[in-house]
Amino acid sequence: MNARAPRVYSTQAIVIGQREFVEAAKIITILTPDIGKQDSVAKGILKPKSRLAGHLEPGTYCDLELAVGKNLDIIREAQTISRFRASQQNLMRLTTLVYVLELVDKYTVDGTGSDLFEPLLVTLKRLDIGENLSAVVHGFELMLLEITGFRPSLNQCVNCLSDVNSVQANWSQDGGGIVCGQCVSLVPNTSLIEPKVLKVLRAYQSWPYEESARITIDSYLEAQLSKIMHGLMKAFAERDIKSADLLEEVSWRKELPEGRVIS
Amino acid sequence: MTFGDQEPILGSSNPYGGSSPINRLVSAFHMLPGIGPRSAQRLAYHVLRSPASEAQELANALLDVKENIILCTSCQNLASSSPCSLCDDSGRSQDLLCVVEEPLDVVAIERTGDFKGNYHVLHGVIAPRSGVGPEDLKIEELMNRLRISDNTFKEVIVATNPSTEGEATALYLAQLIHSLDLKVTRLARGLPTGSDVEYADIDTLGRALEFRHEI
Ligand SMILES: [Zn+2]
Ligand SMILES: [Zn+2]
Repeated sequence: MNARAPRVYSTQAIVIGQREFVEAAKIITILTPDIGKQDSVAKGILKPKSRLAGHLEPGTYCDLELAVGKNLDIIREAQTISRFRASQQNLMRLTTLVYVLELVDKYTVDGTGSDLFEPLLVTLKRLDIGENLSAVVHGFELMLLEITGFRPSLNQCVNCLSDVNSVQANWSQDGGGIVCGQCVSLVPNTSLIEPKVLKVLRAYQSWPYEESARITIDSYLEAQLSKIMHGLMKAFAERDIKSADLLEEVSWRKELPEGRVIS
Repeated sequence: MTFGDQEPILGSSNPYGGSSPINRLVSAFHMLPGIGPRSAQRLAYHVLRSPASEAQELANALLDVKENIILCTSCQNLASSSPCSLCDDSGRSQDLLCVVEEPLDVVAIERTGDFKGNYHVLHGVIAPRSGVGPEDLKIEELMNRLRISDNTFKEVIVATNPSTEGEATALYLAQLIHSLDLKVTRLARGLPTGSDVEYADIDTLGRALEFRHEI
């Protein structure tokens, strides 16, 4: 924090996560439009009459007043703008919300990610309205990769940079994009990618959201899209993204007929 | 990480040295949840000043709890026997199963005296950011218990916290339990006693309105 920073400041924020701290305090990880990701302290939040409790749950969009602290800033006031209640009541949407928060967390370090604030907020709003989940979540993943400098190459071969027709494309997770027929023997660990999957990903990457949200996605196609994107998100983050597995499990079970016993 | 302005506790410059017995004790207390460096230091000095018998009793109690407390194979709660006294109590309703996050939640619900059914302790919530997935909780045990109970349970009350992670866990469990054709309910949410409508978060207030009751 520089010397000219005010002692107290107000900001909008999206709560990314919480963890326990000393006494009744918690450390709240927030994303703000000016600073990006930062850890801050919510003192007394575990006390029954805390005015902060309820306003700082992960996924909450809120107004905060913070005091500049020696190490971490202290949250003095918190007022919920939205907790996206519809998302809180639907398993697919809530799991997706938890997933996008984890993505933001894993792709940022303290003091970075301010340019993710708007895309994240828009994504949480779209999730809450219950729009096309596939376009919302994969659109966000691709936007996140773009902003953090990991834009996957979906039109050109990652090896020779030539334009590749979707029918001739192979997939390289490590290379972060597609590989042409000529280069496939030169690039290790490639896999097949169905032309339809690639076409949809291209649309999610380059079309305006309003248009890509109109694409009809069946559960088979969505499973393929998720597999490719989750693999990519984990590979670039260079660590596990636990909620991706949870999301796959939840959407897989959703497809089962009602009343079936799961073992 | 330090909290607020404070000098480092018993750093390398302290007269006891880095790995002295007192430093070891301070570190051990500091590992406990909610205990900051200052409190850890205070506790360690308290132990140091108290009679040897008191320290012995503390050490015995710590070891005793690790050696003699087990998980009840049925409800997964901490217990000194399995099945535990709650599971073994034939006076409790076999229709109702209340699923909670932690053993302390059982204690809290028991204190109300309003619940006479059975419990199941998950030992946490689904928290992907902290690396906790469904496989790390007692969910498989819960599903096995419901399956082998062969319809003795009529309703499963999911009493996880109304936090984002608690809600996610509740919805996840509901999806699983519905596949067994069992009724799943969630604890009602509203304003806590002694709270202030003015300061309530909109989520709590919204739900309190939604689940209002006639008086
Ligand atoms: Zn090529
Ligand atoms: Zn038991």
